[in-house]
Amino acid sequence: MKLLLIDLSNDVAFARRLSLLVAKHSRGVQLIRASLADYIPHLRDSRLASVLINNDELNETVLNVCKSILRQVPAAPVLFTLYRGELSPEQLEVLRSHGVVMATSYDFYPGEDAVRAMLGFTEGLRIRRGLCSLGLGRLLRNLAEGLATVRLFVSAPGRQGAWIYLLNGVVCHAQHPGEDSSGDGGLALLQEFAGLEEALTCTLSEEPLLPRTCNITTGNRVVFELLGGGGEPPWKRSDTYEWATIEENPNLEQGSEYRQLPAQVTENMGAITQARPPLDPSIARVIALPARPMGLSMGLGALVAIEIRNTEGRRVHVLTPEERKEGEDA
Amino acid sequence: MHSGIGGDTMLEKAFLDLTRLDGILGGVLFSRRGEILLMQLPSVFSFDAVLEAVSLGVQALSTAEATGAVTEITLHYEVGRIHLRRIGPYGAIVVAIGTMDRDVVEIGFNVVAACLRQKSES
Repeated sequence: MKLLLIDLSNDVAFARRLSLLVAKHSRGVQLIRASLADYIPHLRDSRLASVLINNDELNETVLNVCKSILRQVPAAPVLFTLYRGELSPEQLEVLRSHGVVMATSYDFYPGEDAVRAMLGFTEGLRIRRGLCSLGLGRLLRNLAEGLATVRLFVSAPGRQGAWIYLLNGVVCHAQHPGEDSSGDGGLALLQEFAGLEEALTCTLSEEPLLPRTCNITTGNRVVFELLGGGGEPPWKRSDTYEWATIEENPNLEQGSEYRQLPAQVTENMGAITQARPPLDPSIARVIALPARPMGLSMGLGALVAIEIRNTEGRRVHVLTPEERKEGEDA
Repeated sequence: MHSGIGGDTMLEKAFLDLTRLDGILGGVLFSRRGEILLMQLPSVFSFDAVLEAVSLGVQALSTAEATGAVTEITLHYEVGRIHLRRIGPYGAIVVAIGTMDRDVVEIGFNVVAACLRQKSES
């Protein structure tokens, strides 16, 4: 398999160091170096597994290269490295909507961890061909049961493909590659794939950049029913939430807490119930007062989330890091 | 350790069976005033800790009930869960491990509630 480096900044030291690290850490990945002038023919190589774009800024050229990769090899995960800079959440979202699954910056040389992560996308790329829509349902169910965080690229002959994102096993977002992700057509897109009779091809990229919003807010069960082809399921569509709404912390970005907190909760609860608005934080705060010492006295550790079931259904409040810290201080 | 609830063996049996399921560490049935009626917990839990947990449970239930008709509160902790539920005139606390299937707890609570209903009808 091949990792294509499109070096827009012509950084020879970067390429040399990268090739050494690829040789050190990979299991037979071949690094191909190309420039802006000659990368197109390499995209037609059937052994191409992933594409790495390196530049010293995020500019139109980078996005244009991403677009041409999306046109030629939409299933290939695109990686981006930036020399000396920081990418804002907005820039990460722009990159993600152009097919980028990993974006990182470096000083002088790429780090070993970053290269290992790049190789993870290259070597770990899994493709399944000839799936029917029921098979897609089963694949999604397996991923959900495994609490996977993945981007699934689903394509059918003669049709525009789609990205389906899962966070900790929750099917949360779907969009056409390169299109605006702010729409709420995720479920409609899945519905379209559920109705297809052609053989589908799925490409899986694990631990990718995640969208900042999600456009599928009903539970997993609904999506599976839809893909399982069991008639009209009784489901209710609710408003599109920001990721932060699920976590109830608008200040959280893609840091360690961002990943860990929902993981902890989904493991405990099976899946986050996304179809209803979360529990009012002010009520949760009052309940947390007796709940915190209760858990400590029973040896269960710190309080992570509060769930209330009443006539309106289940409501969940996941404690924010600030609220958890509040509890520790108290 | 467990104490008894006088004269209602069906309810007692249903609750104790619930607390003995795989993944459930134990549970306590208490009155609205916080008096412990039935308790099944491993001896590592000191009686003081259980008393404290019950009084905090009463507090949490009444706080939640002030906001509307609450049927159940589930508190998720780092290494487990506490299920709090009002069953007729009683309150129940069940301590479960994090991976315990919540539906099993739900069914157990429903069986206890059904026993209580049966008793009040007869």
